[in-house]
Amino acid sequence: MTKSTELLQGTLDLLILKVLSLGPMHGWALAQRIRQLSEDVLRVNQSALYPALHRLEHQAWIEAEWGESENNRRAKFYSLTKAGRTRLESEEKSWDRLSTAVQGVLKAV
Amino acid sequence: MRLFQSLFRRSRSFLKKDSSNVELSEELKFHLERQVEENIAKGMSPEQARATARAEFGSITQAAEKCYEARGVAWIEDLVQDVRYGLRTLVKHRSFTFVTVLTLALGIGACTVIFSLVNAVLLRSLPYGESEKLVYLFTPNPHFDIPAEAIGLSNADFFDLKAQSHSFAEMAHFEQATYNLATDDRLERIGAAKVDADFVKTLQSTPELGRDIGKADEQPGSDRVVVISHALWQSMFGGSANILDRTLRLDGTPYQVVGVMPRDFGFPHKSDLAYGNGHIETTQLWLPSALTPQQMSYRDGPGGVAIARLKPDVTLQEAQAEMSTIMSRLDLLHGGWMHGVTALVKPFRDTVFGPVRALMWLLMGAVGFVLLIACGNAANLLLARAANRIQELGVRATLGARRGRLLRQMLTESLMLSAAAGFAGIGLAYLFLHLLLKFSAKRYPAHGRRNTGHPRNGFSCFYYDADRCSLRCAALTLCDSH
Repeated sequence: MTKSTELLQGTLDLLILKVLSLGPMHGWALAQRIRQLSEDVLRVNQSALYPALHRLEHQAWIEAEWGESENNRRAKFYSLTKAGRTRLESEEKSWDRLSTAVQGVLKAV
Repeated sequence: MRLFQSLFRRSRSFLKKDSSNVELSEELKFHLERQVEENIAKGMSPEQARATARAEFGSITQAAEKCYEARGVAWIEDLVQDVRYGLRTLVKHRSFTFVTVLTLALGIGACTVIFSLVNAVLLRSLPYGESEKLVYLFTPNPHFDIPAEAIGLSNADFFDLKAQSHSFAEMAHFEQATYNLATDDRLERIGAAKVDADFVKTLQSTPELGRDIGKADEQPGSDRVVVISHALWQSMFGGSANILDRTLRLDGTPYQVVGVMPRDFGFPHKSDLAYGNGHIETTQLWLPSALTPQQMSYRDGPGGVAIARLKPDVTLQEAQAEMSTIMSRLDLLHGGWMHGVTALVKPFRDTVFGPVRALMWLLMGAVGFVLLIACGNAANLLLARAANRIQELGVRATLGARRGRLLRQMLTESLMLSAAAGFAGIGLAYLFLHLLLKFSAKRYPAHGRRNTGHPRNGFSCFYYDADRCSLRCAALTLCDSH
């Protein structure tokens, strides 16, 4: 489970925002979805996930609401706010810039 | 908009801490159970599923703590905790707290009072427009054994200089005088100045009411007019609005009141002239000098005091050079025994502040050191106490308190001490200042009566309602006793 800590600082935020742009979901589903989409490479541990979710919520990029889960239990569902959507766009852009740059260096040398 | 939302959420989780924590543990529990279900669906036995999920999940407490920190309100709670704890310790060690606060408060109080004094005397400008451009003009004569500033321009020299010089934007001359003023039941001796039409303009002041002395008032025959001070207006006429056109009897002659000067204006004060009339504390009346043509032509006779305002782009040295040239020409017109007249342009501020400036800075430096010593003493006391607290800190460190956290607690305590000392210091400064003013008011009664008060900026300001003049006198008092 150390894979999550290998994530670059701020990358988890980007992943959360991106996955939430698909629609509201609770924390467990979010972790599952990231794992599936990364083909089992990125396993987000709860000890990193929930602090990140709470931080994003307190920064008002995302908002939370209690609802009913797929197994009929009370769960906290997170969704993107309008500000969060704008934030996601700019984060994606800067990520693209960064990864292109790193790729460039790796290929050149 | 987002900032408001963010602020709202932070304050909500700060104020409703318990319900936030309950929600958090419910959320984490849901995650764990959902994982157990998933594991069972994968074909594990319920016990195995639970154990695997737990192992994967890690410590719930740690997760909860991290979430709590992520909310960004933890530091407020830490602060509240530190303040509470600090207050308890400070109250418990009363004598230590008292001595430390008193030491610092005395230092701060002394520093504040002296700064107020320096601020009033040296840093604040005088109520005469740009007072740094004001200069006195003298004509010292090395042949006489008289101080340079005791010899003013003679009338004829003044008018010639005014016509020939280009350094001065305005030039005025005046003479001090005293008059007997008849009030209802008695006679009062009042300080006055006989001035020309440029006098008020040179000082860049304007009357509060009515007008100042004009050109027309200088004609002999129409010169029975007077401008009075604010204080006189208040004391004699009760500040009534229809003061203009009333008459004052000065030395038995009626004068028509044409204007009232503003509250701050009392030029020349006793301290404004190096060799002025010692009986005049503050000038209360301004009358036209109304020189006759014969008086205007006095070359070697007594003259008045000349005050001028340098043009904005003219320096003191340039003015001095020009005046020297002109005076060496005019010197030829003087009678034999007066030959050798030279010129001196002296900044007004030097005359006014000259005697006290060095003393003021000395005082400021002295109280600066007093404050430093007080700080050193306080630091010593704190160090001595820290030695006694090694055990307490050791226990906290062993229990897992981080270095930064301990440091923050110490800082909070010190800040509380210094804040208390600051407040006590302000109180002391207020007291000192009033004592100082009372002391100087006794010695300089005319100034003691006046109390204007302006709100001021800077750290010494808001509890300081004393008049500039009273403070200047306080400074002079200190100077005298020195």
